[in-house]
Amino acid sequence: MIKDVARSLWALGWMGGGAIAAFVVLLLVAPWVVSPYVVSLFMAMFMYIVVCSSWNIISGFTGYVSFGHVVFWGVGAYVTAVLVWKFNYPWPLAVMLGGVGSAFLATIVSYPILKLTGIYFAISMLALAEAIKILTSHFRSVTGGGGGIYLRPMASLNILYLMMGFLALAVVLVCYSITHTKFGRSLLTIREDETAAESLGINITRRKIQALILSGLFPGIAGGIYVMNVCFIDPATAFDISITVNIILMTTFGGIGTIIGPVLGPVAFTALSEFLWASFPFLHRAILGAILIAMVMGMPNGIMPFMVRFAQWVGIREFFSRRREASQ
Amino acid sequence: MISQMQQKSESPDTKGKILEVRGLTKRFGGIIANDNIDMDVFVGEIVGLIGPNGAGKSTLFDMVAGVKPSGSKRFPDAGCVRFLGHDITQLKAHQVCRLGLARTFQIVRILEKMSVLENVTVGALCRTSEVYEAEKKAEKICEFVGLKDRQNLAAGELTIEGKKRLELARALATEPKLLLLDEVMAGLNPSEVAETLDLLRQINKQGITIIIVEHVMQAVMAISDRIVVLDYGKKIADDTPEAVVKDKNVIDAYLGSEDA
Ligand SMILES: Nc1ncnc2c1ncn2[C@@H]1O[C@H](COP(=O)(O)OP(=O)(O)OP(=O)(O)O)[C@@H](O)[C@H]1O
Ligand SMILES: [Mg+2]
Repeated sequence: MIKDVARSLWALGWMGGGAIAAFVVLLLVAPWVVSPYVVSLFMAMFMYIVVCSSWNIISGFTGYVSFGHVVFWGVGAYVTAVLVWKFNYPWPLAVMLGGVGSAFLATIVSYPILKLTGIYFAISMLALAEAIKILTSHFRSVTGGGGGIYLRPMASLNILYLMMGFLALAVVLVCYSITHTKFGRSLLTIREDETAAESLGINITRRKIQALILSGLFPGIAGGIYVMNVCFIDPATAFDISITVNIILMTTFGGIGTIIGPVLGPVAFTALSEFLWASFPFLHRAILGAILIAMVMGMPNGIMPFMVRFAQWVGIREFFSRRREASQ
Repeated sequence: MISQMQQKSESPDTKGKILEVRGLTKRFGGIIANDNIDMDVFVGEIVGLIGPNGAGKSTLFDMVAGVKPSGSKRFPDAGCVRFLGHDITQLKAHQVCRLGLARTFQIVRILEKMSVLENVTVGALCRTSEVYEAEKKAEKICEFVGLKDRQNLAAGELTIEGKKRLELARALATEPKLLLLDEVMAGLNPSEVAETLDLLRQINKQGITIIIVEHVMQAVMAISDRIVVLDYGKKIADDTPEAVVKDKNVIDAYLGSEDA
């Protein structure tokens, strides 16, 4: 496994390594160059790269489409907020424990919930998010109830922005490496045919559980970073279904089951909605909706197939994606 | 349970026996797909498993290999299966595979969107945790079964002959000791059948025991050391190919007699 990961990172080569280095440099330089507004915008974009890439592990690679992924993000945000607010934890530790909290939730729900497939899995993830939302409002003494939790600002925007940026980079690299390991190959096999997977020696129950835990871990950390930035969280924000919808839309737009898709999706969405918002302040949502419908109709598999074809044409297919199924 | 009792009473004398099926019964609602089947397979054999459509051959494979038939539970209603001395009646397919029992599916279950090589690699990953190693082994197996020139195609693009070959390659990649082949020659032309028979003999020479379900009669008769015949879920014959073709029950079953 370790050898496969090392090999996959080595295979990134000069181009991949260069791209990563360029990203890191831009990440570090941006706060000195652009306005705090743009920095927050980037931070939101990185956050979506994290949650989309994570969603893609269980829904794209493994084929279990989750309609409730916001729950992991929200639980991470709440764990962080409560630890800082009630227990005076140092915030960086609280952020990490946010990830532990969401991964823990994934662990306890995984076994029963992954017995379901297709629409039943999707719906039960949705129900899970709603249930946790209600529980959060109910246990006032721990969570502050429906009124939410206010935190005093502790971390600077730039620090949190950097954390989110590096987290996004780490998650994308993890997703990339996964597809080159036995674990990742098992997930792709499960997506195609569970019976075949089992008959080839894959413990599908164990693999699906691992996938869901990994898929729940990173959004929790992202939720923690988010809450340290806005210094406020309430159940309506933390478990907002529109976040799940955004995740699904962005990833579909970028290309489900690919590595670069959950990156392209948030980037394109952020750019597009900013542009529309600036140009058509009153109609931007309607126009965004119309563009989305047109996109889904015209490119049901996301923009990835186009990118891959383009890249093949230029001869740098390897750089974008090594996986054939990416384009299908 | 019967299976547990038998496990205790007869372990030492199973030396040359690779598979032992006792009293295996499987019902689907009112249909008895497998009716109290007893069957032994010895190390190094090639056993042909034949019978008219719906006789229960694929169901027997499912029960032995731990595959859950759709809309039913994985376990047989009665009886037990022992493989290399282990009671595998209650095991899951992946555990059975790890013990060294691989199967192919009558209705092929290839991973259409992966390449041929990636399909075989998944099988090879049963025995190693390194994708790189598994890939090297998969390349050798692709060459062995004659898929080398097609190994980079998407598996979905293969012809039915290619897909059957791929199922065989993928099963081989899991390093089985016993191979269950469910109609790997269905839909092949005579020269492809001859090629496959040759391949199976080579596999068998490497020490892999084979049970083969096949409707292409000449092929099974040619390759099998022994033939087991099922009809309406019951075992009606178990003998050498020469004896089986002369067996009255078998002839009746194939001619469709009701009182077989
Ligand atoms: N999953 C299932 N649910 C319900 N009935 C089933 C199922 N699988 C098989 N059967 C029934 O069990 C009986 C045995 O089927 P099986 O597929 O084992 O036969 P077979 O010998 O493999 O036939 P064939 O030569 O056509 O492949 C048939 O009557 C079939 O209709
Ligand atoms: Mg059959």
